[in-house]
Amino acid sequence: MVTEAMNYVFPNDAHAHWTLMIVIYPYITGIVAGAFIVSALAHVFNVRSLMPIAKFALIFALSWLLFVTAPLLNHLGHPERALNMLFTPNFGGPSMMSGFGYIYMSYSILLIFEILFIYRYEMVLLKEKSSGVKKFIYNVLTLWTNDRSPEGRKIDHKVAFVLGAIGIPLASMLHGYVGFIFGAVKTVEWWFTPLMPIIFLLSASVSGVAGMILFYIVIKKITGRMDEVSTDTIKTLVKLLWTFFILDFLFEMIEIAVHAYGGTSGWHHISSALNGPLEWSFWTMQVKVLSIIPFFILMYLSLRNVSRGVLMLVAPLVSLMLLAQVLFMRWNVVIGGQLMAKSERGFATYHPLWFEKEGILMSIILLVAPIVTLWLLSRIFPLWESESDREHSA
Amino acid sequence: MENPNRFWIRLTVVFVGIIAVVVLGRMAMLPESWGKYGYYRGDSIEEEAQRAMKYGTNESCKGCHSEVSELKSHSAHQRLSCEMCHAPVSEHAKGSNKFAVMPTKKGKEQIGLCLSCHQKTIGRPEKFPMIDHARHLAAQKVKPSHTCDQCHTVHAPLENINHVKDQRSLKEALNEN
Amino acid sequence: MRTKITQEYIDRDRRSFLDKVFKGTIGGSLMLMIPMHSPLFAEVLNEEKSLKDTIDPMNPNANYCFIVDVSGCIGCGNCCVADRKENDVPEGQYRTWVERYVIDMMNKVYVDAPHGGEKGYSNIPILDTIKEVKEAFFVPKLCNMCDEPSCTQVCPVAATFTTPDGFVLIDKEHCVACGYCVQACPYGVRFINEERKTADKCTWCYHRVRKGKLPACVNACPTGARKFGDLNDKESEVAKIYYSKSRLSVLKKELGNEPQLYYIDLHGEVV
Ligand code: HEC
Ligand code: HEC
Ligand code: HEC
Ligand code: HEC
Repeated sequence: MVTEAMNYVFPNDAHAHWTLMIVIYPYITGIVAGAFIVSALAHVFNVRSLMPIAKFALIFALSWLLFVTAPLLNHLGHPERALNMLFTPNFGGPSMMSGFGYIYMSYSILLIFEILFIYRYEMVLLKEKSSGVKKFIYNVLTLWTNDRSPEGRKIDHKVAFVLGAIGIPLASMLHGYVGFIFGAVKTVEWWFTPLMPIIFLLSASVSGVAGMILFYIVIKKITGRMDEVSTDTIKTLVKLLWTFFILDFLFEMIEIAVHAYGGTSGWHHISSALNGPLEWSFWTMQVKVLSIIPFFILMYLSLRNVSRGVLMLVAPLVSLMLLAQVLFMRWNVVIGGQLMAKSERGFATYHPLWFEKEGILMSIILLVAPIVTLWLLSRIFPLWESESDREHSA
Repeated sequence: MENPNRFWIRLTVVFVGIIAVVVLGRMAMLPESWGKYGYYRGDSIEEEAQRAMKYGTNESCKGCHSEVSELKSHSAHQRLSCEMCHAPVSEHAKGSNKFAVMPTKKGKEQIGLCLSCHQKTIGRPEKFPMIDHARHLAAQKVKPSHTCDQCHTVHAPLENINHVKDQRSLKEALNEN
Repeated sequence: MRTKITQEYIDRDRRSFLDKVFKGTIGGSLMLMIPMHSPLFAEVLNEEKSLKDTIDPMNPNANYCFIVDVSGCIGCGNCCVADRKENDVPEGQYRTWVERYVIDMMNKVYVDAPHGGEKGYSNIPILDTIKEVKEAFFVPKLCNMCDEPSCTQVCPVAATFTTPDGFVLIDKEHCVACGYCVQACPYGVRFINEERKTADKCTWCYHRVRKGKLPACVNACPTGARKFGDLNDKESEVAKIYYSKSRLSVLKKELGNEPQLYYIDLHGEVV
């Protein structure tokens, strides 16, 4: 038997080339897609218990959507050429990544239009109460219309319904295709699996729903309106989260299991990575601490009739754990795949620094920015169900 | 009473506007030679082809250094590129009006140069003439600081050695007679 | 009359003449006197011309091919040095490199490529770890110029492509440097050029080939281990090898990229 005796990587591959930026990029799109699915459940599938956060879900999605491209632009060697993605997309290749420009643009338009239709009536009302810049913004967003008729509201709801219905496949595409970017690279055994888009979609749903739970409760807590939090909504979200998470974790493990059972040369390389440089981030964090423990907590919350106090404390905590789980999963996929060097004889390295261009501080900034944006957006778009919404749905 | 359709009609106009901007923008921004040979910027091929060379070939030196070229072309070193032991021709003969100094390696540097190919090293094919530096010089009974060109002519490494050998065998032949 | 004298002078000792011209011993005015038909002038001009602008038209009928004879490589690193200079490759990045494979009596495989082999090889540290060497050889690596390249497929903006004459090139004015091609290349030959901030890789010296010259690394190779040519030209060295009995193989064949870079008698351990 021939054995390897030296860590050898090709000289160009000594360090991972895709950095933390490429870790947080799918993380952000995942939250966007997941949050949209929550709003679609309310607006399209009419899940009553999710109504109180249907609007919040849309604005939450928008605030993250605005930062999807930020890590990418920061990573590109020539960000000023980024629009080449729209001008000369390589659909003929076909390059998976070339779809990004158009999918992202379509989805952005769709989400913004959906928001405009959902908020139109409310904005017309708010316009009267506001002045100055704010009034101008409302004027722009309502395109200088002031219609308040019930017919107008009917149209709004019809269009919002249709947009929401189109949005579900589009949001799935926005994120499923990110999975495809990795899943289609035959060079990297760790990425090359048709399960990748599915895993990405499911983990996106997990992070989106978990984000909704966490921010719903935290925002209400900070604004001192805990009494407004609907137990019913949280319970539905927790069940949703549990379902998505079971599927997500199942597929993550199936991927490993098939590799391991196949015992291919690829597995030889993968297993030595999972037991080597990825041991902590994969087995310890992603699987043991942040998957198995949340799984049982969610099971308990979903199946047992827990008190409101416990629910409001444990649900955001477990959501936080799952948000971290998804982040670890992105790391293990994006960085892990690159550590398994193409020389098949060793591992590349990646040690992000705090203050480099694509370093840890930058990543934190890019993850906090959407939250700040959410606060800014909330000044224009009231996050919660208004009187008029309730009247209408009743 | 305002027309309830006004908002979505206006928004549709905005939507059409966005599409128009993208379509027109794409038409305007598409590089001129796009699609000349395929779905890429055709001119980039010529741009790459026009990039200036730095290394010539051994032919590049022939015209001005005919003696050395001639010497080398019949020796064990005939396949070697002059420019690898010296420097790229673009740094030496810049057109017809500039000669930079062409480095010639002497002393220790020269020993390093020769050994970079001839030192006995794991991985080198057995059939390649290799020496162990210390042993080689010891076998010739000279000091380790002896440079290679004191016995080998660099451009035709066995030239004078064979010459000496020939003479010696001639002498021996004459002596025997 | 005057011309004749100069001509004789030049013919007597061209180099020392030139030497003096350029060191300023002979004044610039004399320079002007050199007849335009002088063979010396023609030579110099020819030289300049062949270096710069004799670009051949694209030859779409050619089937260019690169063959590496592993048994000929002595690991001197000349190819890497030439390549770095010819193509302005930044330090620490490699368009081509040379690996050393050492297999010991226990069939353990040791691979190393310090500085991509650019600075040559020595027995340290290999000799410290290996007691008895069974087999050892060098393997030069460069772009495989695949017929089915993974890199051009994934480029989102079509900034890398296969030319009509079969070279995979990069449009450095169009590349956004997303790095997807770097991930997709199975052979690790692509990198993001630190200075230009675009993707970069070996082009088989397309700019030289179009001027009728061999790639810089082929030109620099002292043993002829690197061979380049047109398979459709039956007289070329590569065609003779390709159509002979010699055993040719490609790297990572199972990926289906159909490389145009062949190795003669490659050891199965090489990836
Ligand atoms: C156009 C004519 C010309 C060409 C072509 C040319 N040289 Fe020279 N070379 C000269 C002249 C003239 C000198 C003397 C200049 C000086 O000493 O500065 C010289 C000097 C040298 C020297 C230094 C000699 C010494 O005594 O130090 C070397 C080495 C050399 N050339 C190598 C080459 C090589 C290798 C090539 C081919 C790549 C080449 N030259 C091509 C004209 C040429
Ligand atoms: C093996 C490396 C090597 C190669 C290949 C080589 N040279 Fe040299 N050359 C040297 C060294 C070392 C010297 C230093 C002088 C000496 O030791 O004789 C030198 C000296 C020279 C000189 C100045 C001395 C003289 O003999 O006139 C010229 C000119 C020259 N080389 C030209 C060439 C040309 C032209 C070629 C290609 C045909 C060439 N060299 C190939 C190593 C090389
Ligand atoms: C770039 C690599 C390279 C460098 C540098 C180099 N040589 Fe060589 N040398 C060769 C090759 C290749 C041969 C031909 C080997 C063969 O015939 O198989 C050779 C052949 C020789 C031979 C003849 C060996 C024989 O048995 O035929 C001698 C002697 C020699 N070189 C000496 C030198 C000296 C002295 C220097 C330093 C000035 C030098 N070499 C620099 C590559 C090199
Ligand atoms: C004192 C004179 C002398 C010096 C200095 C010298 N050599 Fe040699 N070398 C010889 C002689 C003589 C031979 C021929 C030996 C023979 O044919 O058996 C030779 C043979 C060779 C060979 C061919 C060996 C073979 O197995 O075919 C190589 C390669 C070589 N020398 C390289 C070098 C290098 C490199 C240097 C500089 C580090 C060097 N030599 C310095 C005298 C010398």
